[in-house]
Amino acid sequence: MNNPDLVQGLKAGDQSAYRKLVEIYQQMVINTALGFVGNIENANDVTQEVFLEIFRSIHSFREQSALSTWIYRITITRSLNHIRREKRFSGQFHESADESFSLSDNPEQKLEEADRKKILHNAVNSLPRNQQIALTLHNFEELSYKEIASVMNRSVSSVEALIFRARKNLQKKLWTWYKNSQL
Amino acid sequence: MNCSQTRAKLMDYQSDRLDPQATFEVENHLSDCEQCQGFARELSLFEAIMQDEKNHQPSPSLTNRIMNQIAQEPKAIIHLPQRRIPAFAAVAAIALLVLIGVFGGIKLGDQITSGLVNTPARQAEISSLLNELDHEPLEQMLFNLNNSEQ
Repeated sequence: MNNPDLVQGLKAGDQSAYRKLVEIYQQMVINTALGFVGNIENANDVTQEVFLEIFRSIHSFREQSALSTWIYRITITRSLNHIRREKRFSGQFHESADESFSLSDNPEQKLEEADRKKILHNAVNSLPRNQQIALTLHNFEELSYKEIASVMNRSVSSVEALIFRARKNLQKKLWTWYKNSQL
Repeated sequence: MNCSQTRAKLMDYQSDRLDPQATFEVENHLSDCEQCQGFARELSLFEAIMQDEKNHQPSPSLTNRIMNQIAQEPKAIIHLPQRRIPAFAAVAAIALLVLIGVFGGIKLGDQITSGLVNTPARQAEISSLLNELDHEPLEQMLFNLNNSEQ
């Protein structure tokens, strides 16, 4: 089913079109959300919110951009809203130690890895908003500069500059953490 | 290359974004600097986390969960396509309405006043009044009008 047919089916409320949409785009959505929120549980919540949002607002999709671009924008918005809600409730960026999603079987290493994930996502989420978005789409979703420019409605050169600054800032934040951890 | 310069290039070094000369300089510094080695190890662990999160596979049950939530939503209302009126057409329509209103108002006013003014007898009456106004003080005219009504 190509995209115009899919969009028509979605606008007509066709359940099979929605199932197709979820099958095609759920990995993209969950990986993007994971890049922002940092753990699987929250990423799953965001993913469900994104597809519900698509269902509720498909009629506002004017097909002037690609469907994937529109879905990326909804995912980013929902992810950032989720982070804001988590901060409000917990007073800080809260992330459950995601031991089920680990590179290691060693319990001590799993805990270290969970801490490291928290540190990484805290550092990324503390970047200026546009740098955070550009870096997450580039590093976690591997979008090209052109694709990111389309999602963020910016020029390619602007995206290049954002990612350059984001990487430098991220490196500084991680260095600060490392230096303090050695004291 | 000093520590600060090396650290600034470490992320690019680990992503293979450096040219051969810069790569050589970073590796040269790392071979002699324990602190930068330690930081490079940490960065590679962070990089591994990012790589791992890229490859996450969604749970097979996620599709069903999402579809169940959608099924519980109120039925989608089919929106009729909204035809957009071109801007110039809207402006032209408004201008036409204004002109009709102005012209119609003028015509209506003409019809009302013509009933009062345009008969020869009425014109003569008004002319006589106008002629007398030059010679008659206002108070006298009002007095006379008052008397004639009685």
